Amino acid sequence: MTSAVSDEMLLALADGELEKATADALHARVMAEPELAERFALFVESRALLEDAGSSDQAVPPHLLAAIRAADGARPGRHGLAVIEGGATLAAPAPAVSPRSLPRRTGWQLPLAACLALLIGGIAGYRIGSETPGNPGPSGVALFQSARAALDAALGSSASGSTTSWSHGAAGGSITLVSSHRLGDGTLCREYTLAGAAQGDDRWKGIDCRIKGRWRTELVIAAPSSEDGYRPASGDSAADAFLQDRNAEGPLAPAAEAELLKALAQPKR
Amino acid sequence: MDIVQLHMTASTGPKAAPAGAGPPLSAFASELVALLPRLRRFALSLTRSASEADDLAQATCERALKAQALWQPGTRLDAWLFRIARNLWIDSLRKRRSEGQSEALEDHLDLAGEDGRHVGDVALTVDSVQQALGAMPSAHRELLMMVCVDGKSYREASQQLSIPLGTVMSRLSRARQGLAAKLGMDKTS
Repeated sequence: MTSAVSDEMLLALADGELEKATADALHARVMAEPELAERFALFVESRALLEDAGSSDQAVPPHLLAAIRAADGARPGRHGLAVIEGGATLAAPAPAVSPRSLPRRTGWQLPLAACLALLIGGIAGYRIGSETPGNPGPSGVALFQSARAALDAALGSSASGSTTSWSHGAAGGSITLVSSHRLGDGTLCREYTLAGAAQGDDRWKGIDCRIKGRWRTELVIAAPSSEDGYRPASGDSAADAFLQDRNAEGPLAPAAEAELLKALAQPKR
Repeated sequence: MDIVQLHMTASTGPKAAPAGAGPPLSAFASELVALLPRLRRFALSLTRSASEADDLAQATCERALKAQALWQPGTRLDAWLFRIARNLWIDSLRKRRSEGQSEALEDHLDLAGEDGRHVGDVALTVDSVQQALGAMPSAHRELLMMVCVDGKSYREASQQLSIPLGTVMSRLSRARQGLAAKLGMDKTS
């Protein structure tokens, strides 16, 4: 069976018009001869493009969905977590991925480690057991996601005591920088409050630290929603405990803070 | 006072996840999932094997997710996926032939496509297929619609158009090649 294969035969194979035995034999030959496969694939492809997009509702096997989910989650900058943990570099649009630079895979699944890294690398997870009656719920998380870019900008440039507004789509609110701290290991951390303008938006007290060139949220605490101003950091036991636990030396003086922010603004890397 | 570990709640994104547990998919991945039935059928037509078709569909989705920055928004994602799948498949056949050790498609698929060829340069706008159809002879267009869109068999088309079966096949073959050429699909990867 080494004779030339006609376009009509490849077409009929692509359209499922051949008897099974004939189709199997021809397909085996197609598989063995990439030149035939290219001609054959063209017929399959042209049909697929014409087909009614809504014509197929067949179920998809769970393992395929799981694989997509894994590949989706392993992509830096696309995971829901990345926005919160990431800071400016991850909140920015995903960089163009060059297939040339992609690592070779050894199996179908992307490494589980890539997913785990997102979790472990994220939040330092400070917790005071008896003082954790609840969590912020979706609204708080959404608020931090929406405000991420503005938060990064404010953390990197605004002096403590200043309030800036933020907006993201329909959402908006304010960010008030409270204080700056240097941890025992030299890490710069900033305490702030984040508020949403919409009704029902809570106020949150947060601490972000500068880790590996970007701001990472280390602590989030629901703040009293009263508008009578923020209380100084010293009045906030959880934030204080977080900072003391990390050997922070106390709020930085305005001049020292300005110096550090100036250094941050220098081109990195 | 509420103190939270964000990673406990961060998965509560605004976008609802499709069926299945876990964090919500990205918008791009959700579109992939929506196209999966068609992608699987496309892969099944190429491979004639359910398991190889799923392998191919999965590899295609993973490739597409990694290279999503190369997809041009506003163009047909399905066409882009088909092109990736086609390139992956053909490359796997080439490797299978040149290496020859394994009959498993998966072994060859996995090695394929590190040079970027697989991520297609096919960027079809939504109406490009309609334009291509409009530019071809009406007899070709008619037959294309009958077979590819309406799903008629060659025999049905032959009867309906009162032309011999052989003419149906030769005309349909030319029509499909003409369509592929107009859409820039006929260039080999």
